[in-house]
Amino acid sequence: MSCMGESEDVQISVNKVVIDSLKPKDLPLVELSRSLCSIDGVHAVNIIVTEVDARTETIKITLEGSNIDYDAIPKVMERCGAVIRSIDEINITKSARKR
Amino acid sequence: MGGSSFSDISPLSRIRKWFKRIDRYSRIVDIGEISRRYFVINSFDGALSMIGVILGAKIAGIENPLSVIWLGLSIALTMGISGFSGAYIAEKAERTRYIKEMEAALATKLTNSILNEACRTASFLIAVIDALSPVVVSLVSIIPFVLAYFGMLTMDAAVFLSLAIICALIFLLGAFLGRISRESWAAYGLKMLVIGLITAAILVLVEHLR
Repeated sequence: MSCMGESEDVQISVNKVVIDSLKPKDLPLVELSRSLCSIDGVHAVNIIVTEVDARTETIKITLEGSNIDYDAIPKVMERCGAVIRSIDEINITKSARKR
Repeated sequence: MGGSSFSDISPLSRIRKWFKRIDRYSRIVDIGEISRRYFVINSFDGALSMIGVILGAKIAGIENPLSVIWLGLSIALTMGISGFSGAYIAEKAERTRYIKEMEAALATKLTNSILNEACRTASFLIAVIDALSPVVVSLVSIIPFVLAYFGMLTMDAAVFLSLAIICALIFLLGAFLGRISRESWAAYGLKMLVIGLITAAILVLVEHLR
């Protein structure tokens, strides 16, 4: 077993991530959704606007898929000009690695 | 292996990619509306300047078409350079301010963001449109003098034809504005044309008062 708690024979897969984020008002939701959807393993992107300010919008992003490339999320968000405020929910599964 | 070969980046596909990128940027920052405004303002500027050049040349008794062509080209070049630099600096300043305000609101740097790229591209594109619009109008309006230079038109006919072309361009600009405002294109076209004709009348009047 590795120090991260991951055995060599099992695969840890991120299947769902819920993010509380702040984005520029001018950035269309479709643009952000498309960029997030291009992340490896993401099958569906769901965005809900929870608060609207003069220049920004607070949004709740739900990424669903299998084996989501978690490290790519902040990079894509930064590229879009959106800020991650917190990760509110995460779903991870463990499965036997295919040989 | 996922790498792109030379055939993947043909000039046509590059242009297509470029247009796609501009389309993407235009969904993020306003490019169309400001470009339209700059296009109309500067084309109109170019057209009125050319009325001045042509009538001025006629009043001054210039009979050599080449002189009018050079005058027209210098006006086109000057307006092009002034249009590009003025619009680029002004737009860049506005967009930089917008990015800074956005950075303050988001409490993050937007240097590598698509928003910043969109703003930079918008400033450049708007400046190009601002530069090209009077250049095109000036170049089109000196075509009759090129024909006169090659002996296909008399100087008087070139002056008349050139003024007619400018009037048509001014009318078209007005009609374009009419279409944008979803009102009568003919009314807008006529309004703009009247302004052009008033400019010409003032020029002639000043000459008579001289």
